[in-house]
Amino acid sequence: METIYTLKKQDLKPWLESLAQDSDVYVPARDRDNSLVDFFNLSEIKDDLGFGQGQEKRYVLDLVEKTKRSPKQVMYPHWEDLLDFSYEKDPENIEDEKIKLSVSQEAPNSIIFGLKSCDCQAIAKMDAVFGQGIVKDPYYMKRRENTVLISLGCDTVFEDCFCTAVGGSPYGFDHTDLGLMEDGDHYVVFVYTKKGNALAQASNSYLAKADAKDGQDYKSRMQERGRKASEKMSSMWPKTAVEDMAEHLNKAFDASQWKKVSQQCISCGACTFVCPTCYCFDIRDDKDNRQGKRYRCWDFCTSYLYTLEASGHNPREDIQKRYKNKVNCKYNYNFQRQGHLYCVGCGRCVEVCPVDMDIRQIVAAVLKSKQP
Amino acid sequence: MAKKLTETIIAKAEELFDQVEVMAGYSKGSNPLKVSPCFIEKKQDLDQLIFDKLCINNLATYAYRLSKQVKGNIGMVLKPCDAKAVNQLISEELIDRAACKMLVVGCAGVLDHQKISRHLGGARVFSANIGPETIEVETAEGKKELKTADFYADKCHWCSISDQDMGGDVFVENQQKLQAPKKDRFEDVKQLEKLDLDQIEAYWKDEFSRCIRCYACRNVCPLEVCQDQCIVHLDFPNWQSQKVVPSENKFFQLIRVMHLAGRCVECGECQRVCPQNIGLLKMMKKMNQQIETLFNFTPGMDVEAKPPLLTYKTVEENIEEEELI
Repeated sequence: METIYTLKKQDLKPWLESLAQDSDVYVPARDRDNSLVDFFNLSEIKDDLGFGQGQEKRYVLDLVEKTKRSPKQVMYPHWEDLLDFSYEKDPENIEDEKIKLSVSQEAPNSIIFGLKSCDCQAIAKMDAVFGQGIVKDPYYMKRRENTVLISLGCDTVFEDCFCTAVGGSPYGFDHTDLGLMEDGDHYVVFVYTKKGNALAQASNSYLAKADAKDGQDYKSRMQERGRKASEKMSSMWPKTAVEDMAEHLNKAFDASQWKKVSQQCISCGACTFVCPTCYCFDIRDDKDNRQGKRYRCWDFCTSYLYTLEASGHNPREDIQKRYKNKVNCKYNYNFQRQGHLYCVGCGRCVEVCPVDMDIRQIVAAVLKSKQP
Repeated sequence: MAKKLTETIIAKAEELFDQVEVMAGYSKGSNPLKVSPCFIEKKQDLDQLIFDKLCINNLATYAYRLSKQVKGNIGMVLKPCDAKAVNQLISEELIDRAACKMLVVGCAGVLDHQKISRHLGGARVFSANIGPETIEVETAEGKKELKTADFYADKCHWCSISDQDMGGDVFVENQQKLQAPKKDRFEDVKQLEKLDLDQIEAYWKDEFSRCIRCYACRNVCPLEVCQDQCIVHLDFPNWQSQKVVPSENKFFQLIRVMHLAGRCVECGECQRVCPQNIGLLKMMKKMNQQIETLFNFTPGMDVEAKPPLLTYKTVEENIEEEELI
């Protein structure tokens, strides 16, 4: 789609608020009380949200900083009910007991605003997990279908960013519905999909169409901005092409290096839960007497319990095996399965790690151990 | 100064190394504001060791793990406050005193790199020069000079054991003395207690609405040694739901607090590692305050002392017994 719009900065607030009337709009905001940046549902914090500095509100819209958690929970919540169940006795024959099942799922219309390109890439990878193959995940897919993604080009390189090293770019708008570029007193809005087009057309009181000449100008400026932002980020794996990584990791499966690099891991789930592409879950029941709910909740592969079998045997008993699996899952197994890495270089795992494990350095160290 | 201290630590570690199979210490981190725990198995690798004001991690986290993995003795570089955790493990007979060689280093206070990073807005840091008065950092946004005193780990503000050997095998004296300004240890607890119950309830609900149940707090704790068999994950009985809701999150933390009663050494690791900045240490401090008043006991100070909740007395001095009718 070639249509390009502009949005005045002062119109951002009314635009988002108008969108929030029939959708859940998630915006990145800093919570002053605990200095965390996260995606918040606009209608939940509307009265406490300031747009811009200098306002004494609890939350401030933050379009620069990377959110601490990834936006994956909008479509793939930390836990969700899969079904309700109850055991019911047949009054005619009390020996006979039937299980009654019911499914109820909410999938509200959602808009995620202010996504960084890494997070957008990650959502595309989640789509591949839940939406490809013989069985599609109805819970995820229903939410995903009702979600519109609005990205914002990213000009700041944070401490742990490395998107360019895994094939991304700060202005990579390839999986978004609408892409925004900040430009002086307004935002330039690029439309990429039908969903995005519909949203832009419905927002015509806030978005103004750019003419063809301006459009060309914006486009080339966007490319230039993207190139500059990419340059700022130095690649961590200059010598190994992303395509070769899977092969290298296969060769390095028994490398002695694994023990050394994983020894400090304390087996917590911090990296997994902030990761935008980790998708493993556990299914459990909360049962109260004769009725209950079956739900799924995020699981983490660094946990001892992740592979513990009913017999008591645990194929990944020590952290070395678990961590090796984690790295291979992201850079090897899923590359072979889906054709792309399951890491978008957002660096959240590096940032939150309690014991300073840096997955970039770890992968580099393992690869090096196998090279001549 | 830091360089000389590091050299002394390496020299002492070399002396100790013949007795141990692996030595846990600090090495250069992934960025100039972080240090990384390291495990040294060969004597010639000891020169990786560093020690400076950024060594905030409590390496006692690895004491129990390593003692299960390694057949021989383990060696550890510890600050006096970290040594408290090892002492507590020893007094609970979770690790063997003789199998753990403690290299205790006098401490001038450690800095919380997250406080610095937050202050810098997460900008990429190219170099950091840390002095007793100022921190000079070079970031992607330019050079900045910060006041060291603003960035100490909370626990340093009420530390009273920074130059004690804590019963370790080797003690390395630090020429610099503790520089963190003094603060009241229970200040935040007192602030919270001034509120009425509804407000306290609301405060914790707000805090625990952020919890993502990553279990970093539990796993980093040097004293929570049963994390692989933790009751919060049990299916039968299903004590704790895995649903991430404030009430369940709070329940999980209360389990932690109860299981650490009379054991927690307030190293502050749980709060430091929390990705969601939840003020967990307040709960621990409140519990410790109770233990101190009731049993006159401070965990980790004396390996011979029996932790009060691992023993019993027929008459407790500070607990009034209800009369039996």
